Amino acid sequence: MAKHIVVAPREATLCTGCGSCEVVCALTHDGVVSPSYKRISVQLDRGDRMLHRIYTCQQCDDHPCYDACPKQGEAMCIDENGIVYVVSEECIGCGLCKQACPYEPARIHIARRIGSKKRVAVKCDMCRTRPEGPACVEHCQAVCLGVSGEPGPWEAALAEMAKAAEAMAAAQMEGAE
Amino acid sequence: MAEEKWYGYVGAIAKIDVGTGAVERLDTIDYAPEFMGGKMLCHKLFWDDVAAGVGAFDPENELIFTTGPITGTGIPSSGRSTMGGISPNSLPEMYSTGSCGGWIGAVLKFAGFDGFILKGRAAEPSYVLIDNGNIEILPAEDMWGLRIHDAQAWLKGRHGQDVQSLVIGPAGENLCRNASITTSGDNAFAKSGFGAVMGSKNLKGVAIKGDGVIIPADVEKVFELRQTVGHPHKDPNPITPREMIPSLMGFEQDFSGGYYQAAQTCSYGCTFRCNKLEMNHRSPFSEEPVNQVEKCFSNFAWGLDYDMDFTVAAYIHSPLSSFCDADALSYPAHMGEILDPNDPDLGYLWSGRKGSNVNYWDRNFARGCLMEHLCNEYGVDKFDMTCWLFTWISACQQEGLLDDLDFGMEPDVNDPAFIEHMMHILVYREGIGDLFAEGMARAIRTLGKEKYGDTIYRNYFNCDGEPRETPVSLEAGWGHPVHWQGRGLMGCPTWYSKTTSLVLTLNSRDCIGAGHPHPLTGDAQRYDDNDPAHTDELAALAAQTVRQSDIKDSVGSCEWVSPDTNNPAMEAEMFTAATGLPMTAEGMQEMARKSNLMFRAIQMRNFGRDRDLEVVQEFPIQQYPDSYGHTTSWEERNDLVSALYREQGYDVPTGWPTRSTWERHGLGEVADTMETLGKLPPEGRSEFTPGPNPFAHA
Ligand code: SF4
Ligand code: SF4
Repeated sequence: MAKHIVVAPREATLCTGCGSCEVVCALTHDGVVSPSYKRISVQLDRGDRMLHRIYTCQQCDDHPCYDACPKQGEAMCIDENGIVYVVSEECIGCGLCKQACPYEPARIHIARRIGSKKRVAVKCDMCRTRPEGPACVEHCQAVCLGVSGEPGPWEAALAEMAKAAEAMAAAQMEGAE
Repeated sequence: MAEEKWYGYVGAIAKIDVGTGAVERLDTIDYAPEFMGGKMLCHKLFWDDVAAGVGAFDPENELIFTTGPITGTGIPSSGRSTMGGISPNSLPEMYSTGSCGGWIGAVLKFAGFDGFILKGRAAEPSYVLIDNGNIEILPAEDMWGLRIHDAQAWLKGRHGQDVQSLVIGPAGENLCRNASITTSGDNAFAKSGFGAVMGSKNLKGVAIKGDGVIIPADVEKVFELRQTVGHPHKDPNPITPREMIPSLMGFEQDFSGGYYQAAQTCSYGCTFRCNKLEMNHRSPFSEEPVNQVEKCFSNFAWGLDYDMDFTVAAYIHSPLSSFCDADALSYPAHMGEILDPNDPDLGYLWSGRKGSNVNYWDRNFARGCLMEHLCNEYGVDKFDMTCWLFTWISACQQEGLLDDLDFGMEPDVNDPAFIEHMMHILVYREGIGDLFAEGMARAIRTLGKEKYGDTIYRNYFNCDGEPRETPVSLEAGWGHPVHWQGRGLMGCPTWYSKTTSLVLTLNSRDCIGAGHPHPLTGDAQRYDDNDPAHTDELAALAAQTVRQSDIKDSVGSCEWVSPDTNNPAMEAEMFTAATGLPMTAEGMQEMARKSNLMFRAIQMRNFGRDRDLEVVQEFPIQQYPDSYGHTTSWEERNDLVSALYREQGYDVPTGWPTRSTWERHGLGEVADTMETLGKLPPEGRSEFTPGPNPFAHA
């Protein structure tokens, strides 16, 4: 499977429900904040559990969305790393890719283009042209998000946190003296 | 802001008559940026629409929900929104506002509205559906009676997972004056009792769906602010087993049995996680254990034998002071990053005082969670319940005052069964619960304040073991309980509680709605000697606090992030990043002065506010000793209020702004209105000699 966004095990770190991943995703790609332009979704849990779920494209190897696209290679493309992405200018907004997505909820959605009545498919492209890599991973303050096949950012952060807590305790003692 | 494209704002405000179903679209451009958004916009809409003589439960009262220009733009802390209207929980009923997190403000903007107004009264139980540009009033029979989380789930079941809502629980339906309106993440507008106003309109809630866009003018700046505002920290949020409440001074409180905790973020797109998730506790409504979101106050619900100890750091704004970060256990890594061991103020910042032995109830995590959980589920203000109702029952019980009152079972605040019973009879107005559904201030007056309010609770000792005179009822002012008054709960330095009380003098509810004072460290060190010569400085600090509160609540930022004393232009930068409009720190201050005055105009025209009414608020409780044994005299209280009025440009004998003050801030028309009402005092009266102290306790 091509690289895709993964979510940390709950034993390591818990999603805080901040929605920052949604926000930065849409801001990075389209300069707006909008449920139509986010490529990742936080589903807030019922109020008496608060264990939220994160949904985004799994970059399936058999790419049924790509297969369903009537403009393969133009509107829906696959890059050298196997990332399936949408070329918005070419997309006709037919919605066949969304219908073909095997996941529930579908990891592609069809949005109204900003300032127009036309529609366009929106899906995660792993921020493939962003030098820093996926924006959602970079901006998740709770380090809940990582990239498949790579060590999760929560692992290093857990070790750092333990060290910082020790330093804080020492500084507090010094201040109190 | 280009004409055809809005930045920050989205362009419309919906005025919804829930009785007729009529919807009027107001153009945001007619109100903003002049009236900014959030709190200031609320003031403007209320001033224009609601006449004097309207009561909280009259159909003419309006519930006004507003977002700020930064709400939902991705700027840290920007998920907040404001609600305003006549508060049934204020005593007397009065205009009030509240601020709330959640996703609801952003989602309203996705639906194309910067705010909405609810007026009128529906004939049948109903809810409002805002679905992008469409607004409908729909029947709510099937939802009426549901508790908060079930009502939220009902709306998601009906309208899809993406729907966000504001709902009331049974407390709001039954017009309990302390009922809340709740949105996702247990975020609530609680203290003003707006849940009862919604109930009086026969409304169960407002459901909102939107898929539109919010466009910040300067995306790069938004990303910069995400890295800089409030020193955000990036580290894991593990589920942590706890056996004690953490403390800044090392006096941790142990909890046998322990509990599990993680952190939660309150509002959409924020970089912080100030709320804590209390995990795996019992609910009377579920077979499964439940989790709930709480802020700092739940510590008191868990155990109130001992009040918290405090450090000065908690009262100074700097990244050090983030109390709720500490509470949510996301503090340590954060501190390690920003503490400068060479900071000369470090010793002072960590100085403080041990809490008092207050002996209200034992430490019991499960019972405390139950107390909060019932508030969350019934939709009732947990501050009123925890800080006032249950401390009052405990103190009265220990003083033998409850013998003549029939609670339907033995009143025992240590017994979870009693907590459950008491909350039930209050929310459903059964037996004596009906009295407490009127709010504590009214209930105590009905029972007789001298006996049930002012009797001394004798099981209260300061940190040295000395008895500390404290009344059984922890009332502060305007119908609200103490909150950073230095009495009852939450000890604090004397200068701090005096300033908080002054802040409340200009407000109509407790201090979270008004803002916490945040002086610079050096100034606080000077105030610490409790020298009355600081009167003018404390008045200036209070005035600055009130302005700061209007800035953050009008822009759409949050109390835990704003202000940044290292960067007074923070909110101006946020505003410009969102809207593309130029703004300076001084421009923000000017906006806040005008916003303060509009609030005052409403209170004067509609509710008869003046010096006589204000000077006696929060004064009675100040006659009891604070954490350091200090009291405030009637003369000092009057001096402080006079200094505050001078600072604000008000006539000192009446507390009414003069014409030059109104006009200086572009409110000449308000001055004309006040003149018609006979409320335009002469210029230049800056002194006042008070009569004798009207209160029995001296
Ligand atoms: S990797 Fe990039 S495109 Fe994919 S969800 Fe994250 S921010 Fe959005
Ligand atoms: S940014 Fe991280 S913590 Fe916030 S909602 Fe997304 S996954 Fe959860």
